Amino acid sequence: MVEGDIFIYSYPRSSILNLYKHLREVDFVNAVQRDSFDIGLNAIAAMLSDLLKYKPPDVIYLETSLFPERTRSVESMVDFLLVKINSQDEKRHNQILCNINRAYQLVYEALHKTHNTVYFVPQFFLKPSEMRMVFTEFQRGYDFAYEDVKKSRVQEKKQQIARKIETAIKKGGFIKQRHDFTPIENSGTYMKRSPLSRTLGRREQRGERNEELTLNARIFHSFFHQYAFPDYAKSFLWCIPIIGAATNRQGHLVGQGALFIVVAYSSSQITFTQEEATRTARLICYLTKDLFSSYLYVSAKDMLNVSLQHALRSAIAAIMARNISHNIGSHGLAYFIAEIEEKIRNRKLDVDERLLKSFLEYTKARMDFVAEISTYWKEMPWLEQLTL
Amino acid sequence: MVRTINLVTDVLIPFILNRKLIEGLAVSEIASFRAEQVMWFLHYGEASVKLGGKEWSSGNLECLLSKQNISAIPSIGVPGGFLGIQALYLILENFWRNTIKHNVSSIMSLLQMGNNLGIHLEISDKSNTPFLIIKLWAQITIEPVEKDPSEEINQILREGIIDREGKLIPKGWGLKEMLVGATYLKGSPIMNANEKGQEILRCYVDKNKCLCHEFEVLKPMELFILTNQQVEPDLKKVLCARGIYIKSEIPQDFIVPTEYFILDPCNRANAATEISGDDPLKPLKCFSRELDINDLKDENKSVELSIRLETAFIQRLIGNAKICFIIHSASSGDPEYKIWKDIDTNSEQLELRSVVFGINNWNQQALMEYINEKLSQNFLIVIFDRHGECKDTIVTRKCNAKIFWEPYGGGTQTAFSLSHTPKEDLQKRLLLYRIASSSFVKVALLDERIQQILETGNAKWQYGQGPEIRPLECLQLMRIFIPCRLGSQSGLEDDQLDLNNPNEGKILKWIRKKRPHILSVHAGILDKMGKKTPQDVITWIAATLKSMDSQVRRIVIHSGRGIPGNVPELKVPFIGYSAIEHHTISRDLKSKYAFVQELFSARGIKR
Repeated sequence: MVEGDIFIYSYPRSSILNLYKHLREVDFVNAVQRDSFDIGLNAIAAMLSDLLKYKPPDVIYLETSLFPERTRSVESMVDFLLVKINSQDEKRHNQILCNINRAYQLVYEALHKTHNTVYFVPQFFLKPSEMRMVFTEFQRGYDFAYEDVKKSRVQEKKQQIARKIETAIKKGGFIKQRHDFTPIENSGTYMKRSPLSRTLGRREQRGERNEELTLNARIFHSFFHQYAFPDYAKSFLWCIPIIGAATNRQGHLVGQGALFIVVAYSSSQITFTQEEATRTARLICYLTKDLFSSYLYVSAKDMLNVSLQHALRSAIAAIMARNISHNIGSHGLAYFIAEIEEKIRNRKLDVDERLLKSFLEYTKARMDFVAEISTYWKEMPWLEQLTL
Repeated sequence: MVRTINLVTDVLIPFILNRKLIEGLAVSEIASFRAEQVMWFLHYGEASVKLGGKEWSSGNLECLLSKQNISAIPSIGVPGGFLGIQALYLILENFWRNTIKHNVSSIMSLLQMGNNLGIHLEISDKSNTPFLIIKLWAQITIEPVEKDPSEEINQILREGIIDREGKLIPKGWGLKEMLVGATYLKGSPIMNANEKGQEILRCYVDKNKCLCHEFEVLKPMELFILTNQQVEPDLKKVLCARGIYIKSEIPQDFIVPTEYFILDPCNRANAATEISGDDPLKPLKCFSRELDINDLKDENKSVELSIRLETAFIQRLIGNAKICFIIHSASSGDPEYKIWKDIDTNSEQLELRSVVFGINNWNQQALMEYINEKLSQNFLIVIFDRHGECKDTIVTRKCNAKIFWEPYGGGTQTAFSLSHTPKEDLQKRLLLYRIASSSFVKVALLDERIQQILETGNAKWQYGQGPEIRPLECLQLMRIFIPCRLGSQSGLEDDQLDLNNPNEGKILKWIRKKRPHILSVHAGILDKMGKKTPQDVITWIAATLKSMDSQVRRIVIHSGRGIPGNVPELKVPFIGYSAIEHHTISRDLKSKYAFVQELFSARGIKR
């Protein structure tokens, strides 16, 4: 890696122009529509190609997990993938795509099942967490350095994941591919596939956080390389926060969501310094967050719509509660109870009617109570402060 | 906002006597179940109260209650007063249903052996906090099973009511309704029901292997003091545990939930704080006075302060007149007679007489002479009259304006108020002053339904063998003014108003004539008078207040349909219709004291 390279592409005017050329095609209002979103992903790939033009990767793999078009549930996040291969050999293309598809299914599944995901964000909007940009390097035949992590911990995790992968292979799950890559028209170099619905199952407490995520990224990278790029000597992984990205006090790039970039090389001589990698990530995330922000806006609007639907249901229940209380309670029942009360006054009632009166009064008061709390909740939050 | 409630007479008795409910919730599982097969126990420290059983289905309620140590059970504060009690019923009702549903065989074998099922509520003090803890359990031993049943319950409480997208989680709704009740009773924000379920309603199997639910309720909320005196945090905690809250400032739109409010005039920061009963977010009993907070360390001193405040409030109501408080019981065996006969409550302002005809030379004639004497000495008369025997003595008088008269019978709300009093004499004195002040509060009630109900047929109230009295007339003697419909009642022609077709001018004229302290008006009447928007209502209230008493005045809006759109937020106290109806239309439930307490607790609301 030559220092000068960094200097040259630190101000990639051409990349910016290239990116905006693509972004112009993005329909932000409907950014959640897959085709439109793919254009954005293509823009990032184009920009990355431009950024790395002095070290052109043999394969660029881009992936991000977002909500599919009009999907109502956070739990059915999908992965958008894009692969760019610098080769005209169709057979090689197919082989690489097949490998990637296989790696994608096997490795992600195993990571998820063993609670070793890299960026697990099940409560994306509701509980934002701070994610740090991660950059890792993997070279075929070498394991990553353990100086800053506990080796036994890594090995334990890797064994766990490997077992899951082996089980999946034995079951042949990966053979039954749910989603096929289809070449995009014209270029033949960009590939995409349909969104994959990922069922996360029951809500459960996940442990992947902070430093653990960095460690997981490195483990993921080693497995992903092994299955996706077995013929390549080296690969680099960027996990880049894409929404609300900013540099924190410690100088780390942090934010929400993740864009995964894996670039693979046949040569083992390629290197990136940490600074260089960070600059690349920053550039990409700052220039692309507009795209994701608009996506976020639309997604948030979608989520708001979902919440509004539920709120509407509650509102309907509140209206009905109010009307039950008003029509049946304070009008119908009130007079009925009064009739029984008159019988009490005239001593013309039996025990059962007296009991009926108690029951009706109770019911009426409940209706009134429900109507009241559906419009007004008496609260004194300051009381809890007193008990601290 | 928060009303002090007697846990036994106001909450449990109506619930356990609601046989249709108790049995209805049980018969799906145990067809032969009868309400008298369940016993309800309340525990507080060493004291216990036992309610229910066979004799309660037909026996004399007053007699049965008098055998119980009800005074030993602490009162509680309930947000929302009468309607708020429903929050406790949410808990009891669902607990009862779940108990039956999940313990059919245990309960059946218990009943087959001739035993009753025991339901226990154990109350304990959560020290130095405004809360009491209630532990609720059924006397059923949990069979040893693989999984602790409380685990599943706690899991349901943990997961909340709605999911991350606001969607209702379709599981454990009975339990979640209990959680809603517990959240409400604590005065906790509504979101806590979703986020802090397991903290608010706790479930566990105790050492006796009974499945227990535990939650908090408020202690009575007495006094709120706004002062910038430096108060030790520990003292603040001790005081808040006694219902006294000290703050140096209150935010805008803060609702003061206590019965009394004191503004320390030395408090410069709050110099602009208005002290008048006109503020709908503060209690009617607002005062500006200097006091040393440290004096309140002594519990007796704080009760004495409340008595002084109540005395000052009475003075606002009746000026410098003195009060002659007469409790006329039917016999020396009546519980209220036993309670009050030896209490030394006499002071310059209030004189108490417990009277039973035939004892100490009391009879109708002697009572009339005594009343005449007191009236001539600038006393106003409060008379609680068992069976209304003194009606003729009172009703035929021409000076009714100086007399409050409330008839009652055994087992009625009024009898409960007079019979189940706090243990300590000082607390009893405070209660007496509160009842006296409530008596003199003139309440005007505008509600077409209540008007119609109270005039149905030839409506008459009668207690025991006492004389009959028309409800509207009776309420008028209790200083609760309800206009009668046109031409419906002779003798009350001056009070005629057709509330089904309300005329704004006539209503104002009627209010001007009564000059009430509190006017409670049905939101529907305002609507019919064209007060469709909150601003219309605010304007009407501002104009109407001028026609009310000049010293103590408040307008409350009531409705039976939640908070209607024309009720201005935070500008007018609001109360549910059921509470109004409960304390006025029924012979047994009508009670001036309870009714006024309910009206006192009303505050401005925010949607």
